[in-house]
Amino acid sequence: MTEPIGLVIAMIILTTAIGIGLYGYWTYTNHVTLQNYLWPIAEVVPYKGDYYLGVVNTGYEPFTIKQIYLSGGSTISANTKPLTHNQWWFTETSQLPTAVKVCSAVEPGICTVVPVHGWSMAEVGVPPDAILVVVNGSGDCGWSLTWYGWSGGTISYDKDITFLIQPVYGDVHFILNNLLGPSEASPGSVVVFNVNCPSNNGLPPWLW
Amino acid sequence: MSPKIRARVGNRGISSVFTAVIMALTIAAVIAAIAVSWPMMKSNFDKSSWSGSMGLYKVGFTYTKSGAYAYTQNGVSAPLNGTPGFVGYCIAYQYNATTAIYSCPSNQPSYQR
Repeated sequence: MTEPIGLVIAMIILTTAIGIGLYGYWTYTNHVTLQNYLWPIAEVVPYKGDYYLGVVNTGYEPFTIKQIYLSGGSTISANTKPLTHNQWWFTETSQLPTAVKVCSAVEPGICTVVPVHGWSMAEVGVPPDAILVVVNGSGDCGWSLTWYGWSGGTISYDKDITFLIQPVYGDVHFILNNLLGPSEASPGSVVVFNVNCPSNNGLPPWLW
Repeated sequence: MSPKIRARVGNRGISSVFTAVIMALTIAAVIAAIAVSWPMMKSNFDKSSWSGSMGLYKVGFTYTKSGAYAYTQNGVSAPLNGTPGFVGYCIAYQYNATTAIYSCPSNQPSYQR
């Protein structure tokens, strides 16, 4: 008679232990699953002596930004509104941000820390059928630029300017007025002209 | 049947029931564990796939008639301004006439600079 009762008790204990174990494991997997679906991306670029930090939610699990870790070892607390898919959040910092901590908006206890991506410099490309003209250093005088060859035109101005001569499929030649720079250029290239004001010249180009 | 033999047969029966229950519980626990693990395993796979795609995410810059533009490989583009702005999942701005400064998911972490 005692053996069946012992068996039933053993079964109950065993079932309870398995149930508790499975529940713990289920809680853990839920935690890890939600954490795995937090997909923040943090970027930084230097800007005017400070750092411009942006964080975007690339996933579908909303999160809030809790902390920004700086290179000096300090942190900045933040408590943003939840960012949903493709939403950005920006801030400026005086020290280089190195990591960002975000927490789920659904389960605030589930968080992840992601590194902040650094910056690079890249050339702004010029189309192969164009010439990029850059005029720098305008001061007190106006200037004019005329081009001819595969493409023709003229521009008179008194400020810095950047523009494309397009389309061009061969060399163009330049006539410079109050400018220093090359006399010809090929498609796909950048030409830079510096303004060279003659003395006592404060008049616009059409009155020279 | 003598009481001794009866007791022996009874013990064997209880032992069989115990074994059957243990086996059933084990199978149930294993099935439950796999079912519970599945979303986590899928999320691990999804995260790896996302990390891989972000590691390749880049931006390019070109001039057009209407000014400088930034564009990403998934077809997102935006004008390049003198102040930082986002294009796709990157931040970029025009540093000077021919140079842009940008940060993308494929860039090295800032602490490695």
